[in-house]
Amino acid sequence: MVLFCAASLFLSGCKREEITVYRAPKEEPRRASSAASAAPPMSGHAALPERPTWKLPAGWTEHPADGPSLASFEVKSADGGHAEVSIMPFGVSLDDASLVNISRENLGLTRLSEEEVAKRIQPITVGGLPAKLFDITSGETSETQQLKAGVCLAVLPRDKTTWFFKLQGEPLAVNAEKGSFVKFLESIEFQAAPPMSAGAGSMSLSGGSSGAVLPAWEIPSHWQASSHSDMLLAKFVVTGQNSARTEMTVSSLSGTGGGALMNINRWRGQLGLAPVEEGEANQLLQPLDLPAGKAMLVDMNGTDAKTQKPARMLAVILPRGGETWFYKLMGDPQMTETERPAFLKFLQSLRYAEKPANG
Amino acid sequence: MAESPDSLPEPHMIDRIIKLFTSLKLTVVCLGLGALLVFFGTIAQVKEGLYEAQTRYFKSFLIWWSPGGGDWSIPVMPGGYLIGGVLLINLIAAHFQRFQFTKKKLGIWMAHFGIILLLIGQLFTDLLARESQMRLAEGQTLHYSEDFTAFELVFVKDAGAEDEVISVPQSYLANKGNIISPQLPFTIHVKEYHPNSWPVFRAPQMKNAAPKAEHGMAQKLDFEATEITHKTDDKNVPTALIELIPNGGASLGSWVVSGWEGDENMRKYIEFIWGKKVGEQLAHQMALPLIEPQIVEAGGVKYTMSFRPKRYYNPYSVTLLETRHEVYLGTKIPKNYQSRVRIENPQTRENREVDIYMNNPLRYEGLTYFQYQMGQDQINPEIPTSAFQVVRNPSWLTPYAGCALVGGGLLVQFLMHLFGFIKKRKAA
Repeated sequence: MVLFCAASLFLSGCKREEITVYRAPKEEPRRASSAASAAPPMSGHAALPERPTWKLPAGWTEHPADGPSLASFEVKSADGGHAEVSIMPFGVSLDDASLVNISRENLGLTRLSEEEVAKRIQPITVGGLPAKLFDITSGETSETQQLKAGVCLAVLPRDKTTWFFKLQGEPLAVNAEKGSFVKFLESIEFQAAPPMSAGAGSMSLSGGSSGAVLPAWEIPSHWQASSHSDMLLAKFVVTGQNSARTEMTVSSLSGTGGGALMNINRWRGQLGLAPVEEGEANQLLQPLDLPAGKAMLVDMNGTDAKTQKPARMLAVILPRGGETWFYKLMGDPQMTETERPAFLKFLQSLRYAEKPANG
Repeated sequence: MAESPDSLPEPHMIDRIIKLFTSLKLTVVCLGLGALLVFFGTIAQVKEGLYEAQTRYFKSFLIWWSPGGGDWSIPVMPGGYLIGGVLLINLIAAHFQRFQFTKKKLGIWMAHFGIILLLIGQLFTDLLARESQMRLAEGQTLHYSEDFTAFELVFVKDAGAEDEVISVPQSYLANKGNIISPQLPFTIHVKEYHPNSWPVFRAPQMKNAAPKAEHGMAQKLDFEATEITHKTDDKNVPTALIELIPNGGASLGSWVVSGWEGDENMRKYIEFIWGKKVGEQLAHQMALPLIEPQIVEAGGVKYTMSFRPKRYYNPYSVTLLETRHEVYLGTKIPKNYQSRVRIENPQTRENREVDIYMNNPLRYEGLTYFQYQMGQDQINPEIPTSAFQVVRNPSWLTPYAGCALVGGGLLVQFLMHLFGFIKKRKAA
């Protein structure tokens, strides 16, 4: 019995964890980060059709933009208190009560009813446009401790973007700077963002396994840039009613990219269609003249192999010298039909940079 | 010759011990306790989860009970190791006391030895077996498998053609306090530890409290402590707040390390959840900090820090070439999960393709790869994925051998009796 216990304890001891050092093969690069860095400048703030400008109040210092914030400022009030202001555009908005209560919960404050929230809304103007100012913490003390931060939040819905302007910091500083904050908001003007030029687009990031350089293009304003795998160079999503959606993807392969037949049959597989022979595949190809070159368009209907829902695909093959570009619009049949003109207009806007001749 | 009064008590005590461990009553008691243990351990899995219940009830000498909220605990029942151990000793002792090794008792010896082998085999399985998972997308190659029930805090530095990894087990962080080791270039001061957590984006318009740590992803993400889950199809993702103090140097400050960080599948999952509220594009931006590496420098050396599922590296690689997922016609019931993989082992110069599918695992280099799951790559749903359950069990043959011995022994004993009976009948 003693021997058994000793043996078991010894063996149990073998399982005790220890700090270890070992050699391991190099890690593959994290796929999402490489995809994010290869994303064209059409994503994030760069996709905004307009940018705000402002007059900086005295005592405010602008800091570099950080993450989702388009701009941030450090504020020093006359009595030495500190606060900060940030500007953040969002693709979606929350209702007034949700906006206020999320902020209040973060501060340890009780939630307010919709009526109570409505009483705290002050109509203001931002760049001459009507907006709402929420004084989140005016006159409050949190339940468990003295209020640690004051918060004022201005919200301006504008086209497809909701702009948030937030003043936050020491409660006394926030109170002292509220007037400057309102004047800052009134000074804001929105100006159109610089359009994409052929030069800018062709100097942009390379991506994909072929090392292709993205062309310049004009993206319809209602197309939303989306994350994508390393297999793609760009992806845009259009969402309609009842969750209908269609996606436009861009990819590039060296040489002929496998040829029209192989790609048509690959797409047919995505639509749940049987493969075809070369003769039938050629009949599916429609010539499409673009400023970027002579392309071929394929228009097919089927069932999305992933979602098992009806789907339509408009795929364009654009050979360009040593590589072949693929532009594919696929999704809900009605949405795809609706987006067809925008897709064709997008294709007409493609501008490739000419590669320098070897000297 | 008169007996020495001093020698009398010892043999008597030994006799009593022998009598106890050879007693058939002890066998009945152990079997009864075993049945109770199985019953209570099975019920406990509902609340405690499979792995915790297994450890508490079956991989222990005693089962402890403590009142809710109390600091003390008392043993209330013997655990699996104690019952199994006593049963094993009882079996061996009783067998050697009652049976002599003769040809006539061969079958009984075989059967008893088979049961002994089963018990010992199970003990070694408990102590030495190890399970992990290998998740691959088509075309992906891996040299390791991961244990999602145990995390490790790693500091990875460049070592030329390879990386050098310092691995600190999760249990060290769970104990909090200071972690000091000659293998670490700094002291790790664990300020907080949460066995399960959930990331929360520090949206500028929602942000109010200061970040937990002054460096790394803590600037953009908070991690809230959540309840430990016991579901087998769910997992606990730990997070810790640590400070790194180089030996003889100034503090490198505080950092948040989390199991959510550094894994693309986890990032994509969070992006999917957040995307429902704020849209795909913004959710992608919000989740990006999860894959930004956290790098610290000590002694002129840069270390990439990560809190990840424990990895078991192999001297060979596995590449997923192709997957096949078939369901019964008209249903979603899986008919066949099949994966074709390539094994490349530079040490043995192997480079071959193997099929792994349901009921046909791959046994290679002491590991068994079972086809576990199939799905789609989180980042590119067009790419199929396959997950293998990787099991190391050095004593995997003992149940087969034990059952064979028991069955064979019973058969031998039966045939001996049968032939003996037939012989007597003929003689009569």
